[in-house]
Amino acid sequence: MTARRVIVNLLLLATLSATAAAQEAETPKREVERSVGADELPGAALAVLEEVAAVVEAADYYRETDGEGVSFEAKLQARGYLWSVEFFESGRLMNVEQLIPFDEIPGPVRARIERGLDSLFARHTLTRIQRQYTPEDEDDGEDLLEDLLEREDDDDEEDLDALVRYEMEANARNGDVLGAFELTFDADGRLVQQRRIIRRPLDNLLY
Amino acid sequence: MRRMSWWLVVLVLLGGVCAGGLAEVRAQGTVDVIVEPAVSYSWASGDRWGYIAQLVGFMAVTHLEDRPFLEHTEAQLAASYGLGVRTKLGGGYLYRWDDPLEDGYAGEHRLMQQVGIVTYLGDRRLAHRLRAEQRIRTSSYVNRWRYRLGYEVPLQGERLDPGEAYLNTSAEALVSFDRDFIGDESRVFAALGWFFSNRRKVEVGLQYRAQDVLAEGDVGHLLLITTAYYLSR
Repeated sequence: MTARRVIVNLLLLATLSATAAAQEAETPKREVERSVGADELPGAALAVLEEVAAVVEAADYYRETDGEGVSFEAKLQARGYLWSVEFFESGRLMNVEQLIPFDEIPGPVRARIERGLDSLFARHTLTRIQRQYTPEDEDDGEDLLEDLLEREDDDDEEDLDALVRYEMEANARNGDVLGAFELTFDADGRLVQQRRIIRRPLDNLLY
Repeated sequence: MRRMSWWLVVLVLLGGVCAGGLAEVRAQGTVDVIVEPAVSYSWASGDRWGYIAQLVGFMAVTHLEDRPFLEHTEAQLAASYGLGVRTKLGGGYLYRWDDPLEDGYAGEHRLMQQVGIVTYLGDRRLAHRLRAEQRIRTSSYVNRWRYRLGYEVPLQGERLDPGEAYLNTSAEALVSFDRDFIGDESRVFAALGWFFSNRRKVEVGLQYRAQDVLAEGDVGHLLLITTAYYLSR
């Protein structure tokens, strides 16, 4: 058997043994999201969702674990928007995120966000913008989703008992820095948080 | 549930393509089946530069009376430069050892240049790859142009988390030419992958190749059973 044949057999063995080990977790803390049926959601979460069932056109549900806790998420289509509604394990509402175009952000806030982005990056492209509503206290969560989905477009956000933030994803570059970033701005357009999005290697797609 | 139905449809369609190819191959009595194991190691230098080393074997399963078990082995080293977050320019070198020695010489030198454009749809990824290759043998010089459309989708929820499975599919068109001839090839590929972490993943798949479909004469059919182990630093 030639050395080359030995090498190729080792290649095959390596890949097959790695496949056999596929189900074993590599990291002790694993974030896992899986699709679930509505019947697997906590009762309190279902009660919140039932209040808006009349205006929801489509819904998917997910259960998330991060090794420490469990949460649930409902992705809804309603009133021409995509909504992501997150619940604690108990079913209490954690927050609501609404996917929006950038020009739906009020003008002065938008201008401040643009100035902030320009100061951070030489070039950037926003790829995803969400308006995030977080209940100001535990009791406000029960009605927040209903208030959001049933209010008129010109209703003032200040009437909502929720903390409003804008969460954005951007492809950006600045000199040697090149990557995707998640940026969170408060309701006035001030940068609250910035983190880099770590994407999977492209080795299997480009080579 | 809707999402699961969607990827099942994709899987069935691609399985159908591979099964159709295999049926065609069997009908013509020209079954050519290859097992292709591969190991890949990639690493990055800063945000823009990336490198990849790859070792691939081609092991014949059929027609062993006419050819050796190990037909050829390829070693590849390539670099890529990120023009933007979505666009990568790349180039590399590949050496291929042949057995038996085609045209009396041991192997082939291959130079590659490519551009890849990736679109991120949540955690799904759509990738276009346009590649030019120069295949250099002592007795010949052949150019090859390739376009591949690839799509990768998580199979357990919207996000691909460590320990979860994904589907990697692609379709590719290739044209080879020199001064005297032009040849074509089409490839479809579907693989089931397991994502352990950003440093490690494995894919097991099927690739069907149809060669010289546009030329007069017999069409060549090839079915590859692929296993690929991807390591990243």
